[in-house]
Amino acid sequence: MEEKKTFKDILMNIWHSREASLIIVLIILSVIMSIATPAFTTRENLISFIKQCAIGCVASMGQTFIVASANIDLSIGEIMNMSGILMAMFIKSFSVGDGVLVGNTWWGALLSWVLAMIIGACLGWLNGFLLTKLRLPAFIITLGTQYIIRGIDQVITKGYPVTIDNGAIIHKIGVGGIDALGGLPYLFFFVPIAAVVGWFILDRTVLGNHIKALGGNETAARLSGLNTTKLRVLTYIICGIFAGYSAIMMVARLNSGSVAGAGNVSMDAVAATVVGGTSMSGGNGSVIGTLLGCVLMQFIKTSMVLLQVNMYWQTAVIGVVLIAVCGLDSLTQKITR
Amino acid sequence: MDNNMLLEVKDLSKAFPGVQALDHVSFDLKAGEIHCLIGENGAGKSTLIKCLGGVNIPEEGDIFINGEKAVINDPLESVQEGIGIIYQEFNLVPGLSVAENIYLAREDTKGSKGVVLDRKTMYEKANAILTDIGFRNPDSSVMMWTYRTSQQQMVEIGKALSHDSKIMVFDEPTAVLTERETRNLFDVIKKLRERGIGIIYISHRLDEVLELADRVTALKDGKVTGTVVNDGNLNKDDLVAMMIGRKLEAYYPERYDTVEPDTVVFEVKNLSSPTGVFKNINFQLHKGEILGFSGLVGAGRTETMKAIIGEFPYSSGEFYLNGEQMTNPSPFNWINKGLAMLPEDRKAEGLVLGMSVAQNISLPNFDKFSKNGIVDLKAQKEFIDENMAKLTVQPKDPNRLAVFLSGGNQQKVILAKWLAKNPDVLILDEPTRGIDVNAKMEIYKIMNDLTTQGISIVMVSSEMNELMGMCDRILVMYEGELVAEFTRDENGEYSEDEIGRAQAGALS
Repeated sequence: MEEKKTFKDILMNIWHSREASLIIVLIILSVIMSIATPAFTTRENLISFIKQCAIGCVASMGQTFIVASANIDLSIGEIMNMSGILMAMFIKSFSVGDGVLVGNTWWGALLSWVLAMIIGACLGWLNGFLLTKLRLPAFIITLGTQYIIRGIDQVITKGYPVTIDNGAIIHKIGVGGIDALGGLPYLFFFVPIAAVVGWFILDRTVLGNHIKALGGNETAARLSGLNTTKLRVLTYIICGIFAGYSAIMMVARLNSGSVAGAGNVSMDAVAATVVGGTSMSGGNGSVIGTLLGCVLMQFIKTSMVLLQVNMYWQTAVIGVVLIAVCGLDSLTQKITR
Repeated sequence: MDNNMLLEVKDLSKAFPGVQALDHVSFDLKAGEIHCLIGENGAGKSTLIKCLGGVNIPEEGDIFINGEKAVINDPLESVQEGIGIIYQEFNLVPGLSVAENIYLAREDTKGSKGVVLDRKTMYEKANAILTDIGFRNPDSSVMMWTYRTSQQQMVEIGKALSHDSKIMVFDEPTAVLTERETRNLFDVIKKLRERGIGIIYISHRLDEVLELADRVTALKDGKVTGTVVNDGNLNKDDLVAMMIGRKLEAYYPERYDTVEPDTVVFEVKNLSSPTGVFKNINFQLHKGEILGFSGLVGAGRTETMKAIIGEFPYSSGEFYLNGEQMTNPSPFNWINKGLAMLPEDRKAEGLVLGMSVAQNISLPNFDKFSKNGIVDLKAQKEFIDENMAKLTVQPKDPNRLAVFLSGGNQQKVILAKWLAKNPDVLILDEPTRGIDVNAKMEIYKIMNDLTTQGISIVMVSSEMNELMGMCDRILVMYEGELVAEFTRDENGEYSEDEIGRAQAGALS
């Protein structure tokens, strides 16, 4: 039944599509910022923006899978740290022939990346395994594994960052960019790859559909013949792989793996996911929405720096944005009784 | 306006997506009267009650209490108007004491600040209220969860009384009670009537209605079909006629003779639960047969069905589908072998409400339109259109969220989901609960058609008429055991009395 769309319908569709609303908000903010301060439109600003934003964007995509299945993962940051630390140790510890480190060869670099993602997958599996075996809330399990992983990290590193030599390929990726494209950082290219893969899995595959069904109604999903235990574990493995992938970017940018590298990324990822339109009660999920949510958060932080607002206010404003976006959505929902 | 009337409801209307739940319903209640509301599931009884309780807000019509117009927009206003409702689902907090539950949001406090709880006073008051309604030696200081269901119901009644309710509504109160508890409840209700409280009593059990009612009003498809005074000449047939509004024969489709009595498709042997919820269940299902499971709430029917599909623990039992034994039953394993279940609670267990019709039907069927785990959207759309058309799911919009469908169409979506898997056996647990009459008739017709395709059906239902209308055989469960098997007599009829007695465990 095709109906003719009026202008009003189109507006309503935009209003109801979180992705479209976020894009419009970002465009409006960009216009305002480029008028407000000339620093905004500089190449340097754009490059630093991309570098700051990229890692969080990818880490949040993993969280999107978890939230879509009506769960949460508080250990993403720790998974990133452990993947990063082990990856950095791998790069540093093995030499090929005449004292050339493995991390200075292309194949060695690629191997270290695969390693980071495998470690992420293993830690994700651990979360999923404990969750489904012990039947505890994800909040408790991942809060626990978060401490465990951090503790092990501290034991391994004794608290010091594992710093990588400047000759390593990963270091070049972290600092460099493509000159032909105005110095567009190599890190940038990690994001669309992750976004396309993430979007494809969640939107276009059987697995993605099953994950959303699991989040929408676990009982109905199980009674429909889905293996919900396996699915839960898989969502955590996916999240772990995204965390491992973002660990690669983190090591590239910081030139080290450390206990504190990822910072508060787990909760930031929840915020970006929710702002991006994925419901905390599960059942839906948009990787692209999450990407935009993350960009919006970083955009606001950067803008405040450029406008020379006291940097301590940045954190508070992120909280306001989170509650405002979700609150607006909740208030405009039609209430039928 | 009759000043005698405690409550008057005039031309109340309320629609939900896909169903007109109340259609200009008028109803009244005198002080000191028990007015029973009867009607099939989905007739609108619950909606009417929810309108009085401020849970649903009617679109049209007025409510008068003591002749004055009352506006009830939320549950608090309903309480303030003196309406106390004992819902089927109790609204009690398990981790608070009994007294704290009764006085929730109106706690007694020490001093004038209203900060520190005065538990002693609350316990005394609560004990007095509970004693008043026939509770022997109540201790209202214990945690709510230590009370049995029947005791929790008493607490709900006490809570309503503590609010000075002049109107009390009981929504199927005996569904969760034993025979003896039911007698106690009736004593309490009659006592309340003597005190001049107006009582609205909803029940499916017509014996209860005939015993309690001063007047009876029947609803059907959201409309009042009649109000009669219970003058002693009223009988069950009168009530059924009011409820159904047509003769039974026209209501159910003519069963085709599809049963192949020599072919056993599905068999359950010695199925028992470790807790005794079901004991030593044995039955066979023949090809093309509709086998009914009858029994009271709590007889163990749903648990039996859940145990069969591996969703409820069992200590012993064997299952055979087409002669092949299933050693590790689970929804996943059964579906691959050709057995599917439509669960009792379609909203909580059958559907992912926040997903579209298309996504719900797709759930177990992705293998039909995906390759290497990647969905072929075009093939999916064709598949969905085809399967929605087969069962005439309305509206024909595959992208509509399941939550916005009427009950009957939700049920069709679940059926469509399974039929695409070509099952040999379908277990339908309360397939028509809470859906309107036309949708029911459609479901019956679908069931009938399925048996002609060689599908065998196990149908669990609390509505005896439905089982008698549709089933080739009826098994009756009582307290976890299969106590009787009924087939049609030479006139093609079942003995309703005998089935009723078997349900009550009173079969000689």
